[in-house]
Amino acid sequence: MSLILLMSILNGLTLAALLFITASGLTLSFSLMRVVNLTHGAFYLAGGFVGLSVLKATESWIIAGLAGGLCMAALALFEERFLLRWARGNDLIETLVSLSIAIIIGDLILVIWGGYPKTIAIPQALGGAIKIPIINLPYPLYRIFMLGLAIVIIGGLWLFLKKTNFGITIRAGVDNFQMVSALGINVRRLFTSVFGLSGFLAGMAGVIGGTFMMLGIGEDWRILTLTLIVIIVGGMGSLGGTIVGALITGLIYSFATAFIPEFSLFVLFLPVAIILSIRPQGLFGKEV
Amino acid sequence: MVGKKMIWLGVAILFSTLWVWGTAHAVSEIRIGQIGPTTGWATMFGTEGLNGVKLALAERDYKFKGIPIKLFTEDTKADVEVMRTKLDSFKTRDKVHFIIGPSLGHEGMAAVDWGARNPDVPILIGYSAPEDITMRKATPSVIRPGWTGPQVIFHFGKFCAKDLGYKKVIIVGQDYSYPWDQAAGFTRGFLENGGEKVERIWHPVDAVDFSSIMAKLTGMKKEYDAVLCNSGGAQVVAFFKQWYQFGLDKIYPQILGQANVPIVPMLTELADMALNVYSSLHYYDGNPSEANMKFRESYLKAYGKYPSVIAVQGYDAMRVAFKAMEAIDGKVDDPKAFITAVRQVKMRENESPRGPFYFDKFGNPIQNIYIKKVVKKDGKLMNIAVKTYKDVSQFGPYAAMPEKYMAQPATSREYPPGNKDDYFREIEKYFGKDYMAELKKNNGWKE
Repeated sequence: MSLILLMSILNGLTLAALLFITASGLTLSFSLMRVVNLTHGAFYLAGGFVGLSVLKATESWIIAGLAGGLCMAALALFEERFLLRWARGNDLIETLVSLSIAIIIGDLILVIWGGYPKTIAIPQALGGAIKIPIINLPYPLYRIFMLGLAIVIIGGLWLFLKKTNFGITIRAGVDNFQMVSALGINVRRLFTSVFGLSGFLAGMAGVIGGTFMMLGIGEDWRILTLTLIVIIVGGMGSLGGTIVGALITGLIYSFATAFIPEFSLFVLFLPVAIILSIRPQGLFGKEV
Repeated sequence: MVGKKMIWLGVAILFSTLWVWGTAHAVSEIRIGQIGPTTGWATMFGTEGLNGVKLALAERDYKFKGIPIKLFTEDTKADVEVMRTKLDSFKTRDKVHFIIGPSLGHEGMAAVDWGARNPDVPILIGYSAPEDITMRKATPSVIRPGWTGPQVIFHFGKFCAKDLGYKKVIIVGQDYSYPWDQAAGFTRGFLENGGEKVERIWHPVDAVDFSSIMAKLTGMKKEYDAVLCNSGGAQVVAFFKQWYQFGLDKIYPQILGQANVPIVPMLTELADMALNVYSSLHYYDGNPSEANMKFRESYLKAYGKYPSVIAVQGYDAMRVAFKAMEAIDGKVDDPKAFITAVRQVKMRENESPRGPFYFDKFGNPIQNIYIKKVVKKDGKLMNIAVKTYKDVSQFGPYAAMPEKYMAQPATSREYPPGNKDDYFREIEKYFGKDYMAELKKNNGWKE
């Protein structure tokens, strides 16, 4: 296999890792609450910027990642508890509320961190390249780390959803929301905490992505678009679908940029159009 | 009867003296409109330009020969439709005498259309760089004390071919008109001075991940000598970062940059990654001239950070306006006289941070172009000039034949061709055999 093919596969896999981390939060909140949370991209970007400031203060990348995640979790809790809850059940209003908060956060970022693009330095331990055995190819260590982290998060989410009481309640809520509330489970609290978890994942993804690429005005919408592609392709509300969606999107993106860069966006949206027309619920989505 | 006649005479005298009195004196207040994107993604382009204008006004205490100056500012939100409305309200509501701005390429193109329909409101264009503002669409009332994309990069192509000795170069850039212009200007200078091939890779404006391009560049090293980064803003940061992550710094000599890759705010973010990057522009921040030092220090004092070329543009536009006002004694209420005066302004060596410049007949400056290199001085990154090309017009080496230059097709992602043979076939078609013969005789452009 030629060098560029191998590299494109690796690049696609590692990009898919970042896309999965970002999209998993969105798919989680969607599957439970049936609201397309357009604030997700803004959570990503704001989390990245918070991480940047925390990194400057503490010089610890791990603390920065957690801080980015936790701040966004708090913001998400606030959004759910005080704004979305009022509009529960009205899809249009819920989406509009999430859209307005996204715009407000975007402008606040501009005021606080300014309009210039920024980047988070790669932590020393993860800098540089390693030689991948067997194929003997040098590859950036940080990207491998990202892939590993995504696998850990997949494992963590899977265990959480399958093995813990809380996770089982969430899945039950996804399947039959009325039944769960009839059983006397506090559904409101469930919603709020899942929304918070989704915000945490987005904020942390922002720090990871800001280290991997850059943070800049407009990045929130770029990431939101990619994330939406992932969950549309994979099927809204399915964790397995999100993994497949992220892989498809990541690989298409990397192969398209390598071979036909002028058309990479076109090629990226092509499967979305095809899937929406043949299987509107996505590859792994359940019919509504 | 006599009394009635006398009254009429008196009224006539009164009116005529009032009339003369009214025109003999300058206006009681000079009203200037400044426009640019001060919110949204392009904030940095708008606010820096505005800061430059304000700095030039503050130097004179917002007064011209005792006449107070009132500055009206408007935000385009980087949206052309919004900008048109704001330009209209400058004209009808604020009754401004002239306008400074806007900053972005598409804004500039729309502003020149507006200017053609409103010839009584002079516009001094800010940072907008599309050629056609002062070429195919040029209109008398629109003057640009700035730059065009190709103007600043023609000679960089020459420098890379002649001084750095590269034969084949890859240009990686965002897929829209500004990077196309940059690539076109570079290709001309490069191929006409001994370069052999320019390969262009275009990626979507919003590209997020460059890893596949890095993989491709690694493979292309067998054939090519250097890579030119032809993107702007956040994409530059991502490009540089992945360049080092994939170890391309060990394969290629150093990145070359399009005109505004290593501008001041980018240097802070790129830090040591930007070291040794070559690029070219009509201004460089490390210029030791008195005008530049003074400008940088007073900007730092007023706004807390060092200015970039965007601020220079606003500052210079206002200073050009001041010089024109001096020539017409502050009578800005006569737009024709003001336009003529602006077009005749000649900025001397120490009057602008960028060096001397004056306008060609299309209203674009003829100015110095500096080949810059990023170095570290006292622990701070800055651009120094390694070579200066004096008095470069927007038509670059074709200054003597602007009509022929404008007869060529508009630049696109593939025009002019990057392959030597195809390129010279095109050149011969538009500039004639004589030009080709001269190129051959001089072995490229004359110094």
